[in-house]
Amino acid sequence: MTVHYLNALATILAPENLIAMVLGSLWGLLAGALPGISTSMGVVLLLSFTYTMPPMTAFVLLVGAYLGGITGGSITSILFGIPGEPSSVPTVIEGHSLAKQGKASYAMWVYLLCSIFGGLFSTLVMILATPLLADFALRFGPAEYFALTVLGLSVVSGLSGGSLVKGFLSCFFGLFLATVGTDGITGEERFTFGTVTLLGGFNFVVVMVGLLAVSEIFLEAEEPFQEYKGAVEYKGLLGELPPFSLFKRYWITMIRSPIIGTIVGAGATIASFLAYGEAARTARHEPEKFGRGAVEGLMAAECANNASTGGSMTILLSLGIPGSNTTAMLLAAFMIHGMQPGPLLLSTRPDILYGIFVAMILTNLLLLVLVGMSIRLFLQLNKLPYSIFSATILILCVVGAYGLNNSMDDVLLMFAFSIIGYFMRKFQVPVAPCILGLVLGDLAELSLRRALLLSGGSILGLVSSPISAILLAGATISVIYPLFKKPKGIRGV
Amino acid sequence: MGSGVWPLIALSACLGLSGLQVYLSWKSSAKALSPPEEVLESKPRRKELVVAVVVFALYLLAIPWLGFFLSTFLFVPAVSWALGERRTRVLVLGAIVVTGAILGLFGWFISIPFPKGVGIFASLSRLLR
Repeated sequence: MTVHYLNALATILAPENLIAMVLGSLWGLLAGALPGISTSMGVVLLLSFTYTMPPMTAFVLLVGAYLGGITGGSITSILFGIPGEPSSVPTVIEGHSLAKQGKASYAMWVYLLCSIFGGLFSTLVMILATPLLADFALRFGPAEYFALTVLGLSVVSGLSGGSLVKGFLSCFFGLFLATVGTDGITGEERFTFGTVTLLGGFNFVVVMVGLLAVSEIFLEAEEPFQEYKGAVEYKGLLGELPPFSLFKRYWITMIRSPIIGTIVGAGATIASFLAYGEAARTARHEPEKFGRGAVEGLMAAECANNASTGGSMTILLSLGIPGSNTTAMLLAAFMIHGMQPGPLLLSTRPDILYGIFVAMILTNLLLLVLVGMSIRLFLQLNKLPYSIFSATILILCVVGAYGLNNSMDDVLLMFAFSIIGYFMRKFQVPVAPCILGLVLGDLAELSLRRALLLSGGSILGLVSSPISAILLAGATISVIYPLFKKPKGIRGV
Repeated sequence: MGSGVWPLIALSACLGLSGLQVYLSWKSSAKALSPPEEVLESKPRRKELVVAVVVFALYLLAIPWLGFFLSTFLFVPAVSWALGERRTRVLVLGAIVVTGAILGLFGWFISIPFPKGVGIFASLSRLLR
């Protein structure tokens, strides 16, 4: 096995592969940071360039874009409050709050270090687990997926702030929004009012950008005029580097969050929400800061967010099943190059498998250097005059919504959701549970219906397997526990 | 389980929770014997908010007619003014720099096919691209 790793390292360190790694990472960072270009879109755009490349170079490039995209998505989340992906919503809540307090540089370093830690952690787990996981993960059926989504939704109790009622109201509103469009089982149209635009349902980005980013500008428009968004003092490359004691203080979060991210291979969104919800629920140090710039919340979300890359890749490489949109693109890349990821990959193309392992480790380290050195550049953006800054964010939101399908209908829907988001936030109804409900609603409904079909309509079928029973029990405890606990004054967002 | 059950559950829960929230709000307001001590220091700028929202809505409506880039060029100073910016240099430079950056990045580099507008505005959009 050592020989495989040494061979893979030698291959990756070849000049053409190193160049591919740097270019892929830079492109991924740009794609992740720019609203309107998701990580998966960034990988897709690169895919056409890889047709004529040697397979290893192609995968180094694509892995660079994947990890860079996941890492870069949080830059705009922290600095501008625009979530590039649903998984960045907790980062917006805490990271952007810190930036608004003039701690953008500090927040950027915390995010970067936690992201890289999460990414490296999950890569190491991926290396160990890929050969072993196939058997276990094959046991996941609809009942287990339904239980997993219920567990994901149960973090609403941690995101609700003072009012569980408002948190669950928001979550059920999100679940309802997820039902708009074509039914995934019967093909019936639901709440489309005969329009083509709504046939595919509401896009996450449209709803997220409207509820969070545009509504934030509307809320700030009510505040007294300020010339600049927030003074950002740059204290040198390592000036705002968080002390080691910070990570020591939140060591439980630093360990728990990457584990959550790695285990939940279904994608970064459930992972970051679960880790964030857990951090909010169990916060021992300054729990009142959640929703107002809690560094622990930012750490949890970022560790889990990047750790999900290893989790998703583990499922792809060991089972051939894409765990996220982006790994679905990587699955296409495997097929383009005449390979099939899955249990046989280890015996048929060990060079590719071990090459991807090594490339993921090196890319994470490269991202630490690339983002670390460009933090100053990113922070300069905060020195724009406030009004121009707000106008730019509104335009980027329009570009983000329009760029999804090149349709103004999405832009108008985003505007409608910005008004809804404004009133939700005015009446202190947290918007994060709504987004969580929208993101998980489809999977929850389809899994439930499929599980009921398999069990002949019996609800007992949902708890017939130990995995789903444990997950559902965890979700129940997660919802009931806060009812018997003293409120900590966590503010919902 | 048919396709209508899940939306029914979600909507029923929304209605039930809304009713519960109304009851809780009514109960807590009935309990409050004196007005809250916390007094807002500054009044929200409602007028500025309404103007900013209207300008944003007009921008979205203008895009298909004027084209994305011309609308954006006009929107930047308009919304900045609505938000309270009065420095002419910032308004003019902001419009040029922001539109230029958006045009360069999304129009030329990424080539997003933005709406071009109609008539003479379409010709202008083609010229810019």
